[in-house]
Amino acid sequence: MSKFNFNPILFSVALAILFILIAIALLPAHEDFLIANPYWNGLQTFSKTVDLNVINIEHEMIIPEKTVLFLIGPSLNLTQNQIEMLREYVMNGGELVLMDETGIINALLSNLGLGISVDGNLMLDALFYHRSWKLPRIINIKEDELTAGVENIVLDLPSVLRVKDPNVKIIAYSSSFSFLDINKDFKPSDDEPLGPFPVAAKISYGKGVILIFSDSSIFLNSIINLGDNPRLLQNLVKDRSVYLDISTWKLTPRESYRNALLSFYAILSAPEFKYSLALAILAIIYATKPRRKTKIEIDEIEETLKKHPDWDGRILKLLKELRDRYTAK
Amino acid sequence: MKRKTLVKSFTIVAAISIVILLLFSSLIQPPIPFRAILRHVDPSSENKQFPFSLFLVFQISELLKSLINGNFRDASEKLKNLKNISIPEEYRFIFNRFNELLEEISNQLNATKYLLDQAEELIINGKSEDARSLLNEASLKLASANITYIELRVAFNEFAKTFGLPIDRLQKLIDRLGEVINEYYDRLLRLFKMIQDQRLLEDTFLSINVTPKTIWTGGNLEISGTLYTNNTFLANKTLEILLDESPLTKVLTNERGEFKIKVKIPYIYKPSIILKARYIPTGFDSEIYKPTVSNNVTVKLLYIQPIIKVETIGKALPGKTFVLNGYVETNRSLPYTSLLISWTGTSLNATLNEGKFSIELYTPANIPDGEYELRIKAPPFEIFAPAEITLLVRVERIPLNFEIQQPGVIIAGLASQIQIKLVDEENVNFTARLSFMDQIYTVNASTQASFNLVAPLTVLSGYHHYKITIFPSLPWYKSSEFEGSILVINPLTILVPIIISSVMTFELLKRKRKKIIEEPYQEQKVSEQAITRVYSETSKFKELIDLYWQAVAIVSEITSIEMKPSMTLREYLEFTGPKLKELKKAFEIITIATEKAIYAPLVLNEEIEATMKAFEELKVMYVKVQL
Repeated sequence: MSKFNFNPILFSVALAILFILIAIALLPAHEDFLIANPYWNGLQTFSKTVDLNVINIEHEMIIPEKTVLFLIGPSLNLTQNQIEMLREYVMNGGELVLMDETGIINALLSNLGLGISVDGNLMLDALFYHRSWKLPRIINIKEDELTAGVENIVLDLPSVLRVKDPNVKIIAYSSSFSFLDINKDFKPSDDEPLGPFPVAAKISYGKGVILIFSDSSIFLNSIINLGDNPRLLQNLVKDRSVYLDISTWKLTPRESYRNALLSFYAILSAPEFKYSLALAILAIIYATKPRRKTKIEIDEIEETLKKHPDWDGRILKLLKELRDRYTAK
Repeated sequence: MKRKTLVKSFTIVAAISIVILLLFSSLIQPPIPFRAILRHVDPSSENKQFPFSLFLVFQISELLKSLINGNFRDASEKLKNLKNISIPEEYRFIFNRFNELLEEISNQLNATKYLLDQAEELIINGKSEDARSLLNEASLKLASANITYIELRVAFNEFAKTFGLPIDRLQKLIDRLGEVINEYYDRLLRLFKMIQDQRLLEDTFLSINVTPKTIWTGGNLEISGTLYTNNTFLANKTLEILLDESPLTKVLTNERGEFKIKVKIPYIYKPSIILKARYIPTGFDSEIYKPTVSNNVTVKLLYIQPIIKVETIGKALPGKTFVLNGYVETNRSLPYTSLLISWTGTSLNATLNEGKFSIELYTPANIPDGEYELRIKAPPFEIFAPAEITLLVRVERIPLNFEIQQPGVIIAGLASQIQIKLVDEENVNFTARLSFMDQIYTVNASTQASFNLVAPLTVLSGYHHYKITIFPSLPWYKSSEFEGSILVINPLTILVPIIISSVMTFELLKRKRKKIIEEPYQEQKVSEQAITRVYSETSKFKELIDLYWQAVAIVSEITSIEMKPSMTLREYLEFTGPKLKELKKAFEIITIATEKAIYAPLVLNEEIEATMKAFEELKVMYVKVQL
């Protein structure tokens, strides 16, 4: 039996792991809503279109009067602190855009004392849609500065809004042929409510305004350019700076790893690490640099003549010169 | 390494790599249960779906009902919606063709109805000849509608079959649409008959006069006129007086066919009005006389148009009032005492004093910055026309000027301060928020505030970004934002790596120095060992071997042939022999003796002596050559 070589295997495995770790960090993200995700479910196009700034509302602040803050597809319940930060933001003149179909934002809406909520059931449209009933096309759009030039909005598995407050201005309704898919069979059933349902609403709050959409997917890479969605985005943003709050997103293991890797990179980029590393490299170079060996010069001729006083000193000198020349060659 | 082993090794490596890759790929693409909520689907992966047939039938039914009822505006809206229905591309043509035909028939029926209505109006007014051309045009439209209807029926069958729609319900409505076309046709014929009938009736004529031709609005006019035929005056006939096409009053002609009536004109605020009279025979008269319309009489109206002039004093600031001054310009004293003012959703009255007014207007505190309409209205009153002026007033909060004093450097673990000082204003309460190193600090202050910062020892040294947002408590001040960077030096994070690297460097240097010191000693030791090894074997021939190497040096100098390391003693002798000539013998003696000393090792004393002599001979010869 031939001898098995173990070292190359270990080396290759280590190399493979290293490459994979780097690849995971560098390959484009696949997760929902990530701005680095260039695929259908990412927000990269949205990010580039509006020159997006990503913030964590709990740790960062933005000036309300000149900004619009998006809260898209929250997957974690909002904390009381987050709610207070958002309340203050709108009260001081901010424009808050809430996009959710699950009902997670209902706690926020209720805390803000708004008579509106997200139903949470899927709404499909069997007549006005893009490709399939799961992608309703909203054609019943009310006149408002936000809907100027907007004739239809394409949604992706949306829900509907439940409005109790008469002061809430509904800006878009689904068609009469939309239905709530309560039994989740993606078909209209006799006992399922039929539309029209409100899907977008506007509420003045303090000095600011809150806009609620019962769908978080309107500005995904695959949806943003359908219908008049680009125009809607333009109307929402106008000349304000756009921020996206990511404090309510639950991170996937991959994203957590990616963030950890980036944090590690940030630590390595810190001046103390950079300069210490440079110092260490210099020290290693200095320590490993070969030096001339100090040789102990011994007067051979003198020594030899001491042993052999009868030898000719001149010849020995000549011989030494010849030997040195010979060895130098 | 053998090839077989290499292949085996790399096969296992590849297998391990694939397993690792699969493990990691589970991180890249989370398993399905991870996504508890289905938020969206990929549009490109969705199969193209047909619309729900019952809903489609309903939508088309509603459109057909609108067409049947002559509600063409509603039909137009429904047609627009129909175009938005999503139909798979391969069936789009059939659906579009059906829609086109529906749109075509809708337009044709709408145009026909309009023409018939216009023609009927003209016939009623006795202008039957003018109506004829309209009816001719209507008949063409109706014929086109009929052709479209036939195409629609054919297209409908294809459409219903393709989309699997229940035919019965829609077929009834399509049939009913055919009946509507027939009804229009009947009406057309009836109107033609009316024109025909009017030819047999006697022409009537109506002329009117209005005095005066210029009046104050709301004033009285006298309208007189005569209704007659070519043969006689028509007595006791009811006429209708029209003001700008709207009925104003009715009047009866006397036995001479004349009428005279005084009418009060309503308060109308426009430069002129048109008056005319109309006679529409009724009852038995309708079988004798044609209807007629009189000449138009234009009457100029006089009224006073007040002009409102206003100016705002001060800026419109949220939570504050500003003054609106103005006056109403007229050439008569105003009959009313107040104006209506609308500002940011509230309305209030401004009292007039000799035509002037001054009012304080409050701007709501929570209003966003922007331009808002300020509307001032003067009501209409008798001869005074209404007046209105709308201003666009800019509401803009005042920015506050702050001065930020930040430390140049912050040492982690030690307290530092960032100070904010209000520059221009005095005693403005504000809330300042500082966001620094993922922490938010809040202070409430007036005029000046300071944040006490302690950078934790866990932060890295370097420039750290901070942002200060200031929210003034008074609503007319604007929020402000400042950003900057502060250099944070963390002694801990600097010292730790420096100590580690210093220790590492020191250790390396120490090891190296030791090596350097040891190296010459070792070298010397090695050479001594080698010599000792050789000499231990040949110690008594040491001098003889030394002598040989001295001889080699002389020979190589004389012959210019160097002794290569690969050469044996004997080989070197052979190479140099021819050049040494008479000295060859001496070198041969030395070589042989040396060979014996090294390899035997046994050399006779005589041989040693002979070698010494031969070396002496070689030296002398060499010196001679050199000299």
